[in-house]
Amino acid sequence: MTVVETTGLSKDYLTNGLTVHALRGVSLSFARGDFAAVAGPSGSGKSTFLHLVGCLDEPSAGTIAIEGEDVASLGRRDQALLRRSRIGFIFQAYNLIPVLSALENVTLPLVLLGESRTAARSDAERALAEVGLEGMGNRRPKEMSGGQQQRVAIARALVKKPSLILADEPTANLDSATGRDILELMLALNRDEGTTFIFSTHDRMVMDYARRLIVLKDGLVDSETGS
Amino acid sequence: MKTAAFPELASMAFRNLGRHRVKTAVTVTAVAISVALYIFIDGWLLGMNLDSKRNIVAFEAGAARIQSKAWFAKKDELPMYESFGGHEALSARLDEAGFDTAPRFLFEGTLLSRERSAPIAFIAMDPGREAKLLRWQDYVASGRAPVPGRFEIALGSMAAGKLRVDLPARPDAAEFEAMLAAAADADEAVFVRGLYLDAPPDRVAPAEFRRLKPVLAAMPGGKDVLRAYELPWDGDAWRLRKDARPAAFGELAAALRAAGFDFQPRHTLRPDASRTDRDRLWAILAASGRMDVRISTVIDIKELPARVDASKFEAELLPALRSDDRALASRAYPADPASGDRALAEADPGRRDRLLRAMLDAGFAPAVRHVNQLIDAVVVGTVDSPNPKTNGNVAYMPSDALQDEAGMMLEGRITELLVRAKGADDTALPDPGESPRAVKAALGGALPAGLEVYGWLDGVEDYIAASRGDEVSTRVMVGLLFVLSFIGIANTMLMAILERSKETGMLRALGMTGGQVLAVYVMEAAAIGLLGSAIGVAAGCLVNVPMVAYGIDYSGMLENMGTDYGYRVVAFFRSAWNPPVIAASALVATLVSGLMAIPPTLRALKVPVTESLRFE
Amino acid sequence: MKRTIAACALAALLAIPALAQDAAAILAHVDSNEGYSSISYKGTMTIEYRGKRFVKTFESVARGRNESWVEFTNPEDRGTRYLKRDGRLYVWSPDTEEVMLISGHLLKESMMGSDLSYEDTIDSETLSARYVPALKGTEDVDGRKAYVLELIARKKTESYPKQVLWVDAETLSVLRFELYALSGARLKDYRLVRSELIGGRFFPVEFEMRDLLRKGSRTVFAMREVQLDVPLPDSAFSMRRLEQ
Repeated sequence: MTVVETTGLSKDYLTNGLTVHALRGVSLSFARGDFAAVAGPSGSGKSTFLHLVGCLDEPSAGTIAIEGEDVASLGRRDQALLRRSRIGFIFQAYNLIPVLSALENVTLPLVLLGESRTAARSDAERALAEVGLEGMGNRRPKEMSGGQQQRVAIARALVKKPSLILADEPTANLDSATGRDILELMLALNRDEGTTFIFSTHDRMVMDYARRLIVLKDGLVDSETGS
Repeated sequence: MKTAAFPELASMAFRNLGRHRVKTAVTVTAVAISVALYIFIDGWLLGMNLDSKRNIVAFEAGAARIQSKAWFAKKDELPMYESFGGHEALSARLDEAGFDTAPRFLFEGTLLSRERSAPIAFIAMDPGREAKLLRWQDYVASGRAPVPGRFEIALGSMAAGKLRVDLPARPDAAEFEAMLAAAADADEAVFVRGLYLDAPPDRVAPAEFRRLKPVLAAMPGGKDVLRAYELPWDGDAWRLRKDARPAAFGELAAALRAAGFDFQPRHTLRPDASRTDRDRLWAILAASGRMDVRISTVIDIKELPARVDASKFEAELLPALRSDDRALASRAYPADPASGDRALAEADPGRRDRLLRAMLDAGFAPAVRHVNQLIDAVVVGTVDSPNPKTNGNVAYMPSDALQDEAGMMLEGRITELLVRAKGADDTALPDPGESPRAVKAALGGALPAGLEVYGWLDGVEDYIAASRGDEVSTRVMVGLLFVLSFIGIANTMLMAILERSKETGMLRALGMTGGQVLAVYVMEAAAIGLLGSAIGVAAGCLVNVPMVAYGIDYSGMLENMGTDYGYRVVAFFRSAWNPPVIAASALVATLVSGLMAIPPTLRALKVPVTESLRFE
Repeated sequence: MKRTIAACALAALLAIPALAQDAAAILAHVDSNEGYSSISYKGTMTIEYRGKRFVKTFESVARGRNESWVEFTNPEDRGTRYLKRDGRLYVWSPDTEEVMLISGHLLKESMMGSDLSYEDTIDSETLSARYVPALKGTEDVDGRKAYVLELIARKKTESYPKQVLWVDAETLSVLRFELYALSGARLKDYRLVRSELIGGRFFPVEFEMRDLLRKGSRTVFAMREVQLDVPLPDSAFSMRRLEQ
């Protein structure tokens, strides 16, 4: 079953009066349970691809379908609702909400989905336990190490059981041992829950872990292996 | 927005407040000051206006007044020629309908005392009827109210002080000698001397005070002197404390003299002097002629001029008249064949009246004659009421003494008839049953053409102007303060939202809608407003409690301003509680604060999420 | 004895109508003496008030009883101008550079701090037209024999309901007069200081005025270079001249 399907996906940016073609017609399809890495040098368009798929930006041309639903036809509000229910994000900079505790950070997506507070809390606690942070729920992000913060971020992305998790350079800020732990964790979740993972990365280790590797170059698919 | 998420969003908003404690505290303080000041000033204005209105009704205007329309149109000039007769019929009618009435004739003139003169507004009135609806006679501070049939005056206390027709409170040496000389015999002189205390000087130079200090400290009773003086922070001299007991003045003065300080004796009227003693002193001073005054004035009478210059008739009168009146005037004033001047030849009283009315309405000056008048009178008392209008340059006289050529040739005419419901409560403002409409209804068809019933606020433009002016200026001032604090909030929010771009991006990535993000920031800003309002309301009310209970004494300020500053309150500004405004100011401050977050948030939401996330 | 008294009484009775007629004739003379078609002069106004002395100089022209022009020339008041025309009095002050109409109660005010009120300068009708005179006898004024005339206003609405005039029996110029309020109280006092024979009549060129309501106050007016009945242009009394 196809979770994500892009056809002729393009994105142009205007920077300092110059048009940069970040993506120039990328057509890819990801099935449920994929554990895929989008790699390539800086400026190859891998992050842009991820952001467009996550409805964080509007494509200049082409279409994106998430579980068969054409994203371009959705309004901003519906895109937000789509992100809320079906997509989890993990970022290189973790992006936790600093005024919320680890537990509250993880609870937030569930609350937004309308889950009751008590149910959300117990789900979030379970999610934290799954990423190995049992008992650390009351800590604020700034009281945690980078690896711990990224685990919270993973728990936050996973807790609502999305069909798709987009991880933008998830290991870039971590040492290789911690990075490996995080990747192992994600792989386990992929295996157990069948969640689709798409990474953008230039980390060799991530590419090794990925079952499918797509290399972008100058906004075009350069090569694709696995699948 | 899903309501289930609201507590989480609110909690996030409140926690965000703590991120920049200093900035938040400053902004909250600004809002608090604005709110507190607004509550204070509003309560102050309300209190002053409430007291002013009560005092206007109880001391100046009653509930309504009947005046001629022509008088009302020119009321700033007190046009006595626009007076009217036959008011007794109106009074009788209103009496039956349950109203008290008081007839008055207002005129201006100069009051000349033995030493000085001052412009005065004279109120010729009927003391008995006046007492039924106005209260100034209860506030005759010294002497008594005038008695009908006599050329007697009750004078505003401030004017009496200026003209020196009152009991001297602090006569200088020369004046005191004159007062003693006014005594008819030794017995009276002793009485006068006994009513005055030998007072210590108001001011002592610092060098002198330093010299006296050790001497006084070592003397019995000397410490009382030291306690009685203070050095104000801006003072160039030691001053006698305001709260120093006059009963002890004699001893203080004696102690100072004993300490070797030589000063001019200054006498002070005993503050504990009984009414009987004061009345006796008044009688002694009056017998010496101190209270004798003369009223120099002009009696203005409307009258058709016997002759009018040809040029004046053509160039000034005719163009100012309506066409039918023009024909009337031309017929009534045929031209003299020799000189061309116009001489009055109209005999018909109806046409004469109409022509005179037309001339007056056209502002034709020769239709008003001015007769010089000088009236001897005696001041019998001074008025010192809570309404400064009664205490300034105003003189009350019995109108029955002024009816003929020795007076103002009133011949039963008045300029206004004050009206108030019988038994009306002084502290209550007039109710609808006393409105001009109600008074008119009570009169039925008895109100002659040319007369009109006016409301109590129709004659006090100076008060309304002062009140409106203050209303506007103070509210604008406080409004500016509010704007400043709102700008503070807007700035705080703008900085916060800019700083948290990445966070906002993440919230959006997590699936928060624009509305939810907006709610978080609006709540944060509103919380600043709410916190400020809460503190402001508490502070404002705290200040208001003594302001309502005691007010502030501003008698010193009043002396500088005189009596013509519009408000009808004396010595104390007293605030009043205004709960709707207190609640509204807090509510508005909170709401507007919240609104301040909208523009920067909307701007942040326009940016694609990726861009927000990229923000460092 | 009885007969002489009766004769005197009769003589007195007979004399009254004659005196009354004389009174009217004297007043008519006074009116004509002060009537002129035009006048121009330089004046000095010396005001003494509360122990202080102020001297003001001015130049003045007047035509008939209705048009007059005064411009002050002393340094403190230089440029202050008064214009009377059409029964109205206007003032132009160099401080405000504005023309103001003096009307209503302002007419009661003292003119330039003197003992004259604006009102005193504005009456246009002759005394004979406004008052009924009665000859009250003769008195000695500064060594000159003078008729004493009591003037009672023809109408109650006259500005001064009563005046008393002392008229020189020989020259028929007014040596002194008093102005009274309606109540009968004396308000103002005029005394002639010096008159000159100009154009065949005695013209008052210096006189003193006292406002009795102002304690210790008097104003002396003196005129020089008096010219009577010289032709004056209309422009001398124009609003434009006032505003220049």
